[in-house]
Amino acid sequence: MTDDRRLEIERGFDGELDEPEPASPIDDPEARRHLDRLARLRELALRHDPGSLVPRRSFELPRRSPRRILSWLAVAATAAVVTLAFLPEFRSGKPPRVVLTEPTTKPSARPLEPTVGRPPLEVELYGWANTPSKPSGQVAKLVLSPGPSSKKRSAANEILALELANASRRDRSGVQRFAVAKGSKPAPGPGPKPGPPGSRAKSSLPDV
Amino acid sequence: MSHRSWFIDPTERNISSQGESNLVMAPETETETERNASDSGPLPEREVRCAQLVDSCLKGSTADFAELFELTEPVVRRLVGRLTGDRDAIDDLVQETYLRAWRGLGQFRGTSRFSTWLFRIAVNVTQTWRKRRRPALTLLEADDRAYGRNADVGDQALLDVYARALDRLPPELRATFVLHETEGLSYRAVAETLQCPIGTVMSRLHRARSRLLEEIGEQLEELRP
Repeated sequence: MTDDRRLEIERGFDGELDEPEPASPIDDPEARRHLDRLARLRELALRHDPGSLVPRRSFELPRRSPRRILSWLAVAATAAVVTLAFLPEFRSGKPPRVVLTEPTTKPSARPLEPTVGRPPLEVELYGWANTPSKPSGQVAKLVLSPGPSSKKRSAANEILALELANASRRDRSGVQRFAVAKGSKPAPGPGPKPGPPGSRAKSSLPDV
Repeated sequence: MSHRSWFIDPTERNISSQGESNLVMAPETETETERNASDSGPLPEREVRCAQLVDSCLKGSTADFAELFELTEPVVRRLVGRLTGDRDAIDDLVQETYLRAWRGLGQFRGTSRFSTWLFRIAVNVTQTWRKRRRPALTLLEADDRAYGRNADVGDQALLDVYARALDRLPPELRATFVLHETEGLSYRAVAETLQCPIGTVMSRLHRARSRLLEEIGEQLEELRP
């Protein structure tokens, strides 16, 4: 089909021909096919209508995975529960509860219990602490003895060892005490003089 | 010669296989000189109302411009959407079109229809936008575009191919094709809008169709009626 013929068919298709076409395009299969394609193209062009939708950014949510949404919901629910739990307390006017983080000097009424899996040294210390007389100078020497194990001593073990050393000292020389913390003084009153320098057990912990 | 009104709703357009379109025909008349060259017949009601509103806007009524906007915005939005293919840009371009129309309303001489004048502004605005935008859309963005409420879900792939082919057309071919094929403007109305001879409109339309059919002609068979 020539280009002029196509142009003529298109003008007829658009209704822009001044005179009706002498020969019906239906008689020509090629012309009929071209007309059919023109009609389909127009139909497609009419269906293409981006302007009938609102802009994408204003109505579409960002893509999120269900797992992420569920985690956000869980966090929000937890926050809501915590808020609701503390709300009556705040409204009642009572002072908030205070959690003590510093160790108290008050001795525990319950005896210390060794736990399975603790180091042998701690087990020995717990055993000593649970005995009423606590005459264990051997344990104190064990704890305070220098060596690689002393680097791993915890603050509790250190204090416990000092107490053991004091107890051991008391056993040997009456009321003589070792200083546990900075600023502590020997018990007032008459008693034997403190031992020579170097005989006092000092804490290796930093001053508090 | 029959003309189609720019107010025709495309969904009302009934296209037969013989190429005859059962449209509400409207004459394209304007000034005395142009009326002689155009079809005779009454102006569409909305076109008459537009002319009245333009007159009152020129006398300083901003409320009438608001009514003018409400009356014409859906058509301008549809045109801008088809010319750009980017629904994220439509709002800005429609706004820019009406801003220019408001500023230039004093220069509207009434020698053509208000719709023709407004379409000309919209085409200029979109062509300026196309010059400034990125050179080509990425494949992902093209796949993510939507094609409006008239689109069947099964035709999305075909519409995507069509949108890409339309996007590749030169601006003048694209504007001619969209104004005539989807907005229903006659050759003469397209020529007035684009300010070019009717013969140029005919050749541009023919070239645009040829290119589109060359790219998607085989796949048009898949289009569901």
